This record gives sequence, structure tokens and C-alpha cells, in this order.
Amino acid sequence: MRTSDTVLTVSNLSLTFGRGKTALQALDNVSLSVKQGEILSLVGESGCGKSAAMMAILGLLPKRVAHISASDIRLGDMDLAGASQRALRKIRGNRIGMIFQDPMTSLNPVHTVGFQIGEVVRRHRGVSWKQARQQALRMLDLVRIPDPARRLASYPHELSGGMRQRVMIAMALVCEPELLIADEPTTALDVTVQAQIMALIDELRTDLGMSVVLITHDLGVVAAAADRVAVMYAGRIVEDGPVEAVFRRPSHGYTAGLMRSLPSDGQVHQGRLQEIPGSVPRLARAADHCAFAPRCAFAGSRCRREVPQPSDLGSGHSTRCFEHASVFAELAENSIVRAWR
Amino acid sequence: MIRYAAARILAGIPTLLLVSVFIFSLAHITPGDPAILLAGDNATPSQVAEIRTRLHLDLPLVQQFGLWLGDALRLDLGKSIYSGKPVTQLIAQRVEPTLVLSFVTLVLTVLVAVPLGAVSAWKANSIIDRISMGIAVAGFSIPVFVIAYLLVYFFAVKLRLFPVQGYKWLADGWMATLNSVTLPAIALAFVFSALIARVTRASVLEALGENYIRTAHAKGLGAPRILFVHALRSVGVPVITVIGIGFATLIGGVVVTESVFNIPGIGRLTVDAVTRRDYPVIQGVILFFSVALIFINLLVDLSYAYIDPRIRG
Repeated sequence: MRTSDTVLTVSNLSLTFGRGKTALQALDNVSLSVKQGEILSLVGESGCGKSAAMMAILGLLPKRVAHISASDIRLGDMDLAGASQRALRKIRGNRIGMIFQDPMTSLNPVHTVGFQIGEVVRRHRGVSWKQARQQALRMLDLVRIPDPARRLASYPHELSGGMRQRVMIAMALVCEPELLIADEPTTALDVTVQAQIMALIDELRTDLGMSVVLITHDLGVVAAAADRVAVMYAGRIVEDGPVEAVFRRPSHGYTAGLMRSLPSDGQVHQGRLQEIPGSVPRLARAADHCAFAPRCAFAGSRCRREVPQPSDLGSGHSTRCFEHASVFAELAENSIVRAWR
Repeated sequence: MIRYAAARILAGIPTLLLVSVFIFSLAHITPGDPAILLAGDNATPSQVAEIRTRLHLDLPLVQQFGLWLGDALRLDLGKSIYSGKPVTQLIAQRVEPTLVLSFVTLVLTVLVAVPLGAVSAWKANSIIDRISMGIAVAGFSIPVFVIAYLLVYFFAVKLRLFPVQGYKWLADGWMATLNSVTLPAIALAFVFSALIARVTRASVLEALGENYIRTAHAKGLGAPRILFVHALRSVGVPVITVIGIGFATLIGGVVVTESVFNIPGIGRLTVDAVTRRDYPVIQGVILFFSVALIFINLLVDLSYAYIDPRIRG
């Protein structure tokens, strides 16, 4: 892995909540990297650990309950794994911006938009309020909020959901971070607004030359926006690679399940969409077999005995699935897979 | 904003009217003839008859109330049975010490209890939290006169830092005034703080779980800023509300504290009036405290709009 054009490197990140009987293993040896200017998408069901991974990297999890270990967490050439809270505070909002799922509740209701954006600049740049206000104004303009000067004095409850998410983006990007972590940024928004917000993120990525980690459970968003995708299940990355490669050749039972549950464009549905039976397991310890095996249509006896190690499928595409060949064979005629060829 | 303020002010009027009815009935609902009551213990029958005609007690009740209300609106609350001085004048003479004591108590309480509650919430279930909430419960449970005498014993008698009792008027220099009300204000603040600290802790604890606090962390803000500018600021409404409610408790405390520290305020006036069964004065101080409470509640209501932008309509 080259460090020169890699913005974020995470190696063997494990995370446990609590100790003893009530312990919950949220992440098991997660490794990923984000290159300069790319959008990496983390995909998976609720509770699979995608948000927890990003919160762990930023030191946003409560220390008393969250036990983190990692062989390496690196932002550019800075070590985050061993960084103090003080050092991490200088990173958050400055070199790494973050936006969240629910723009309705993620802004403080009692402060103006201008105050909430401006305080980030003040915190990290040590400028005057006047200059901070100028920066906030520039950002509101950049995220295409109409009449930005007037909006500076607005309170969050005076804005629509889409506008609030734009404000969140302005706030996350005002210090021009090299990395934006977007945690389900469009989930709470109307479909038409979703597309606008994704287009905005994509455009700002190019303009500001930043990288994006896009957390989502929506493969449609991944297909439309991401460069690379990492599929997570029960605290592990089970398949990852360039979006094109993964969509052309889905190679994990779980990825296959996600794709089958997606409605495809231009096709009249025959009956119901396929669901994945069961739900994400909550594990006290990392499973000593493929965690998806109990829900997997392809699982053989080996899947229930052994943890599959990553197998390289070429061009940066790898999977942790013993049955990836049969998964692909089964999915070869899937409409989405065919559409990507 | 102006409409909101006007609505709040108008809402105070019926309350005040209701209180007036109650105060007026005070002399009539107590057993016995109000004229005998008002005349005092050693009055002759002719004096009672004179009072009855002078105070229009021979008129129908509704008419009496009308006359009484009219007088009250012109700040004429009758004369004290004991001293013969107008009640309004008696109250006016005693307002300053009570206002100073209440104000100093309020400032002290807000400066101590609100940060204490906020820090307890931040450090929830830690030693700091347990100790400060323990003190809060103790402050609420121990009667104010016990705290007052303990303070006097240590800080006035032993350490000689403050006077044992008495009040220095503002006209004689505000430093001396402040010095004379420090101990009574601390005693009162103990009781007042307990409630406010606990409510602040509970509200801030809830706010700290909100998504916008997570955002504040993600922005790289430091702990004091997240706690005070984001969490505490957003729970201003419940905290101010309880400060307003606490004022009602404070009035009871003022009466006791002024007696312990021999401060010539409204509280002392109340105690004296009650022991002398000086009904016009009792009516006067109740009216005074009621108006004060209604005014404070009005301030609380108006402050909501300032604190929470969603209330401004």
C-alpha cells in the first residue's frame, strides 16, 4: 500500500463494547484504505459496524465502554491510532469532516447556522468572528444555499431537510478537510433531494480534491457515486474492490443477497423483491466461521467451520467467501450484474 | 415576539385577579367577625363598630371587594392595626433588604448550581457527580435555619469573617450591604441550588445524548464548549423554568432567613404581622409576594423566547 496517494489507512481495526458477559464485538480486524480523491463506500445492514468503524477512527466512541485495537490507523502520514484526544480534536472538523444521517437533529436548534459553521473555523483557524462569518458565507454559497447572507442568521428549524444537510456539508467542509466521512447522508431525505445531495458531494470532492468515505446501506447509491466499495457484515469486511468489479462479479454470499434485494431499472418486477432471511447477528466474540453462513444460500460445511481469509480476484477485488465461484455462477444472469457488463 | 410578550403579559391579569379575590377573602373566611379580627385583641365594641363602618364591612361582599380592589390599585392597602402606618409604606420600607437578599441568592445559585449540574452530567456516575449530587440532596433536606445557624457559628462566630446578624442599607455603601447579606444568601442558596443543580444535571444529561452533540464532537470542539455552549445552552428553557419555580420556595426561605439573621425585610414584616394578627399587613405582604411571583413568571416566559428561537413566533 503506497502512502503517498493514500489519505486514510486502517489496518486490523478491532472494536469491542463492554467487557465480560455483556461484551459485544463490533469490529473484527477491519482493514481499508482510501486513496486521494476517491469515494469509498462502506455498505452493510444496520449494526454491521460501518458507522462504528468511522467513529472509532475519529475517537468519537466513549472510552469507558469502547475498546479499540488496531495495528495502524493513519491519516496521510499522521498516526491516529496512538493519537491523544487532544490531537484527535485538532483533526476532527479540520482534516476530517463528518456528516450524519439525520440533518433534522444533527444541528443545534438554539444556534444560528452562521454560528455553527463559524465556530468550526474559529476553532481550527483561530480567526476572528468576522473572518469566520466570511468563510461560513463562502461555504453556504458553495453548497448552493440560496440567499446565503440571510441564511447565516437562520436557525435550523427554519430550513428544510435538504437545506439542513447542505448546512451540515458546509460545516464539515469549511476547513477544507482531506477526508469527508458521510454517514448515510441521504437516508433521511426525499428521493429527489437525495440525488441533489449526492451530486453536490461528488462535485465538491472534485473541486476541493478531497476523499470521501460514504457509509450507506443502499447499493443504488454505491453504484451511482462510489469508486470503490467495501461490503461489511457482522464487523468484518467480507468483500471489497472497485465498484465496477464488485458489481460485475459479486463474489460473496452476502453481496449476492444485497444485489438480489435491489429492484432493477427498466424491468417489471415479477412478484416480491428477494430478502435475505434472518438478521445481523450480535456477537460477543468474533465468529470462528463465516458469520453470514447461517443466512447464506451458498454455505457449505466449510463455511460453518472456518473463517474465510481474503482471496484475491484480481484488479484490487477481494472476497472472504469459500463459495465465491458458485455465488458468481448463480448471479451471472442477475439483471444488475448484466447491466454492468 | 411583541405579540408573544403581549400575550404573556395579558395572561398575568386573570392570575392577579384570582389572587386578589383570595387575599380579600382572607379576612372573611377566617372564623369570626372581620371587624373584630381587624380591630385586634383589646378593642371595645364601639371601636369595632367604627371599624365596621370605616372599612365598609356593612356593605354587600361584592361591593366591598370592588372598593378594596380600587384601593389596592391605587396602592392603598389600608393601615396596620399595630402601628397605624399605611401598609404600602411599611412594605416600601422593607423592600430593599429582601430584594438585595433574593438577588444575591439568585446570582450565587445560578453561578454555582448550573455549572455544578452541567459538570455532574458530563461526568455522570463519577465521584464528582456523586459528591455534588450528595451535597445537593443534603442542601434540599436540611432546613434552612439549621444551615443558617451552622454558617453563623463557623463564619461569623469562629472565623469572624461576616457579621452575625443585621443588615447594612445600600445607602451606606454597597460593600457593607454585600457583606451583611453574604451568610443569609449562602444559607438560602443551599436550598435553592439543590433543585436547580438536579434539574440542570438531568436536562444536560439528556442533551448530551442528542445528535447535535455528536456533531459538536465531530467538529473537534473542546469539552467546555460542547458542555456549556451546546448542551447547556439548549436546555435553557427547563433550567430557567425551575429557577422561576424555585423562587416560590425561596420566599418561604426568605421569611425564615430574615428572622434568623434579623434582617428588616418583607419576611420579617410577615412574621411580625402574623404573630400580631395584623391582617391588613398580612394581606399586603401576600399581595406583594404574589405580584413578585407573577412578575418573575412573566420574566421566565419572556426569556423562553430569547433562549429558544423556536418559541419566537
